[in-house]
Amino acid sequence: MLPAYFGDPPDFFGITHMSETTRRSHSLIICQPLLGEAIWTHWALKQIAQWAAQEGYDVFRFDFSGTGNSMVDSTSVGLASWTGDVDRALDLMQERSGNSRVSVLAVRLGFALAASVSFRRDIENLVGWDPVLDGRTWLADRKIDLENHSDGTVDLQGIALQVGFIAELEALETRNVDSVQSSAITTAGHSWDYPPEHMGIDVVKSPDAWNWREPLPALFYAHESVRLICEQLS
Amino acid sequence: MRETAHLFGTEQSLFGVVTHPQEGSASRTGVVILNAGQVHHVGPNRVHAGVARHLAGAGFITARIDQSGKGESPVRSGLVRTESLVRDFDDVESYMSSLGVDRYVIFGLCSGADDALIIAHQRQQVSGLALLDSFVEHNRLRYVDYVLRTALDFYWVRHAPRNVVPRVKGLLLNKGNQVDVRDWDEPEVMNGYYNDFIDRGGNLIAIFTHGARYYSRRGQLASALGASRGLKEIYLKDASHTYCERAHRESMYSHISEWMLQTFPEN
Repeated sequence: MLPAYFGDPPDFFGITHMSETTRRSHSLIICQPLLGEAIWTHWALKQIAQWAAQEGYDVFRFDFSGTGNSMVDSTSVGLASWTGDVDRALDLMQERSGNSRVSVLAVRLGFALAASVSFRRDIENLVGWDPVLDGRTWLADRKIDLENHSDGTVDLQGIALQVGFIAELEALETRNVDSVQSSAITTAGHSWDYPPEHMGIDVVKSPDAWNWREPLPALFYAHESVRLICEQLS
Repeated sequence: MRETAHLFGTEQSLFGVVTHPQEGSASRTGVVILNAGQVHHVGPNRVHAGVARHLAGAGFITARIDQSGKGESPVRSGLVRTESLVRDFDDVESYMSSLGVDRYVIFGLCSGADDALIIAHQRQQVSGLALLDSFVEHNRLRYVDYVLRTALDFYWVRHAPRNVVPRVKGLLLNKGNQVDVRDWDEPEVMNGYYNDFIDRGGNLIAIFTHGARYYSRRGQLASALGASRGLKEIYLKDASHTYCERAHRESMYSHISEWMLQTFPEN
């Protein structure tokens, strides 16, 4: 496991897990969910990264600009920053591993961001975990008070975002992912914005009783979902 | 200001992010930030990243770590809690001393505050503690007091749909998040940790929030310890336990950096 800041200035945080066995010449990028959801899924995504490295993948997981360990000022972040982060992760991993084949595991809103770059990047397999297809749906769960701000920013679980960025997120829509082989693991509480079969997404249901609105400590450990995601990737 | 990511220790297994002040402005006092419960090194509502950057802005080198068994760091097998906590501290201290740090303040929220007390009891290099919702001795009427305060508190009434209703629903369905997960020793042992630390000249800032249900009156910690020397005690009555609101986080950051600059002024 190699944690580091990338870029000049070094403001893009990511962790690389290089393959521990015979290499598959295949990389895995993990697009984590945003804000509090990133904390709740951290343990599970780390487990998946470690499993994948043991299986021969070179793995890279990263923090979106303005979130987590990122040194980017969150008030300067827009939708292009977050989709650009996915591009940056793909470029970095290709450069470091030399692999041309890449799969992406994307969780919640991370799926909509990864899907939006999948049309212009060569991604072999896009696996979602409770994917959010529309920014509007994700924002509705956050219960944002857009009226209550004095400096043009709103505070989302420790991260100040420009009101204009919230409008960009509301307009984010994923209508299809035809350009890439896609599947999704969904937990009991997940609901789809559109029928996944119309989107070209194969769905595998997990028995984990995950509830994104009221997470409990036990949900740090989504064993079945982790197992099913590993199955999809292998 | 810049940040660097590390794997500390001879086994290169303890994960941490170090926030460095501007070149040439670093203090010889460093800050080590522990995990809040199972939440990783970024902290709930990004509190740990925020406080690290705030303190680095004031000149203090700050390391926020994932203690062994949490976040990115694997468990140290075969060690009991205290041994593991101390080994973690020793590993990060070994790195920070190479940057010129020779005394330490440990920051901890919730169970991180409990861990900080234990480390300070074991390591003389710890000169300061910045504790959020740490242990304080309380009486059996604390929950009655908490309910009364909540009922009379305009903030909680205003936020009832978001805060109170889900909690009541959770309690009724027996799925609430009110489970007491703190692993406290007996009060005399915990008070002993505080008193031993203060008696050897340590300095302590303790900030309590409304979320600490056992904290029912201002000055409760000083009163329980029987002394106020070396102790600064603050109550942020509107703040939640994990500092959900920006204004409360900024208030907490300011209190801690002001206390740091007053207590360790050699910058």
